[in-house]
Amino acid sequence: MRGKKAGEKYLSVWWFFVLAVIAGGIVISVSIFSVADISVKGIEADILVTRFIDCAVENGYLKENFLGSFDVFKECGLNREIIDSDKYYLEYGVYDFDDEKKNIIPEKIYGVADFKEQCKIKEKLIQAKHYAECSEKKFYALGKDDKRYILYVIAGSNQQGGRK
Amino acid sequence: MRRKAQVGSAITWLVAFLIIFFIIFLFVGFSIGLAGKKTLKGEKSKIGILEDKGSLFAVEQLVSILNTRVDYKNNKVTIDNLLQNFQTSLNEQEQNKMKEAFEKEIKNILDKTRTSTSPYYIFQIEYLKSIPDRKGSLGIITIANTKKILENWYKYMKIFYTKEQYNELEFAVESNKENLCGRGIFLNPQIKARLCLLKEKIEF
Repeated sequence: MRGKKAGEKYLSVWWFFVLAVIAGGIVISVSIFSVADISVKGIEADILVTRFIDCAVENGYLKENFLGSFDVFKECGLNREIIDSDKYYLEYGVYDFDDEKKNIIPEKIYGVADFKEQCKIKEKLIQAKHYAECSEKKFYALGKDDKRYILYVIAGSNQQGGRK
Repeated sequence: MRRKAQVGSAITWLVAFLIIFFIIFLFVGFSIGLAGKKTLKGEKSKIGILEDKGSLFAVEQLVSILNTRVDYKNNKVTIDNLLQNFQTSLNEQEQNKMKEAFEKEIKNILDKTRTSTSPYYIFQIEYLKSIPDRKGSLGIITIANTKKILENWYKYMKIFYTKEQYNELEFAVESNKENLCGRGIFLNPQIKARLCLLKEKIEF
């Protein structure tokens, strides 16, 4: 023990090297885990469509005021500010069941209309990470006097998430 | 003596370093694996619908279809009523006519409501076992390759949500991944109607 410098045992090159490997490993692992993306776009769009249909239709029938003064934000409990932000898109229209080209009410569009095109592009491309994802549904619904309609709904989301 | 001790220490450290390096390598590997599966359900790095929730879309659509009026014996009768009276007093010929009436209508509806996000569907009506001599499938309308699907149906789909009763009907949502089914059971008589809107063609 004589002649051994103080701290040599603990501060050898090996020690530094091992500590660096351990610290580096922890840093790399934590960063890999926390940086990994989760895409909620598709499911958000799906939820938006389902929410809309749930508030527009009751027991298979369109709600009485749906073809008239239907306020989608009030009836469906949606926040206009959020839908009109740059992250969402909602479009709906009502068509005659027997003549799908005949729209009963003009199409209503909320949010970023560009998302519809983005979704079409995304369907054809393998990857378009920053583009919106959409959910498109056609719902068969009945109206007064059992008149039949197709309720077309498309919703898109481009919720990127991340920390602010 | 001192040099020998140093060589011995270095060898110990070398072995220790290899072990530590291996452990760190495993740690990083596990982190990568877990990060890739940072999902609740569904595809990698994507969130799916949780099993204990789920969309009622298929159930809502099933209700609309069952409330549809079809022509039967110069009357407009709901599919709901046709099904409920199907097994009680009709002979086989009348049953076939009735079956034709609603099958045609249901297929027409489902063909018109297909979209790119739910391009496949299955509509199935069957008796429950409690009806003697009449059990089995009453009608299957489909655009997927379903013969095998139906054979494996009960193993494949998970019932996870039951909606309140409506008009003598009890509803439930069935789900597997992103394929959703709405199931309605007529309480009296016991007939089961099931509508599945599928995102993908299921292969068994």
